[in-house]
Amino acid sequence: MSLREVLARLPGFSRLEAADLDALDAAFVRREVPAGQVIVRAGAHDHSAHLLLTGEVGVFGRHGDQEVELDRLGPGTLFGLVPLVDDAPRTSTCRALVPSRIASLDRGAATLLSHQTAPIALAFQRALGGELAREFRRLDARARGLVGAG
Amino acid sequence: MRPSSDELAKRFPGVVAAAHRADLAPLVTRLEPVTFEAGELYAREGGPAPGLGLLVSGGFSVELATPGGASEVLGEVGPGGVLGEVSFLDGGPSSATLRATAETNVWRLDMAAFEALASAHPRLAVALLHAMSETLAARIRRAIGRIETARPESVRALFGVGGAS
Repeated sequence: MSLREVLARLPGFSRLEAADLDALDAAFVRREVPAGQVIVRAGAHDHSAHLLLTGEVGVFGRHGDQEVELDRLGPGTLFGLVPLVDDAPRTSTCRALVPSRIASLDRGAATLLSHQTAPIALAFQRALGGELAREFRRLDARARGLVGAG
Repeated sequence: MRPSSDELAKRFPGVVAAAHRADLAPLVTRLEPVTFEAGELYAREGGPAPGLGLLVSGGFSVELATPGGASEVLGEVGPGGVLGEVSFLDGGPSSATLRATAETNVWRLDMAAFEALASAHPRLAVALLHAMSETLAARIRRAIGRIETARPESVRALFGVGGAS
């Protein structure tokens, strides 16, 4: 599936017109990621967001000296969004579990999109908010599970 | 009574930080003042999205269902709190039950009112979504912190010994 097709399926972007989708498509940089490669690292100060096109990505946190898998992401997921919003260091590490293709949007391009024409800015902010909400639900369910497991 | 733009900005600076105060009027006119008596629900866990709520006075307890069917009070939201932002952003069901602990006043923006705002004043809608995203980013960091600082036996039970790495 192409980046443009993935974007068009994201809830926030599905209402965009073709020209706006083309502008979004052009803002992302695509790359191949081998299995095991770190895409974002906890504590780092980079502020890019990523869209998983194919493959699978694990989200990992620390518990003492051990690494725990917080989440597992499939194609069509936007990830690495929190630092894009709050400008703070990365909270977790994301690593490709299998050979994957991702498309990345750096903070400068994201800021540009936020100040773009209204339809793109609104669609981008809707998609960002929606993905953050889904990420929060997944993590909150895990945190609640810990209470039950304790 | 609906708030003035100044009152909205003073009580909820985080919500309107990204917007110019002069731009707030279209948002203010769409806020619905709602009063809840003690015990009344703003949202029911798993129920329909209640819309975005700005808590003016009073408070809500935050309750979650337990596996045994009872409910557990996780905390309380007081004046200045924002309600329903998760379902507001993803359109999903309510993530918790919110029960008024006293007579409570809320300024509510339902989804239809937000869509009308987005159509007529998209820049203001973008600013509001951005503010809600910032609120949620902070909650995500807290959720990760809860997982990373949980008791070791809890982590082993949920994630397996040694984690998934």
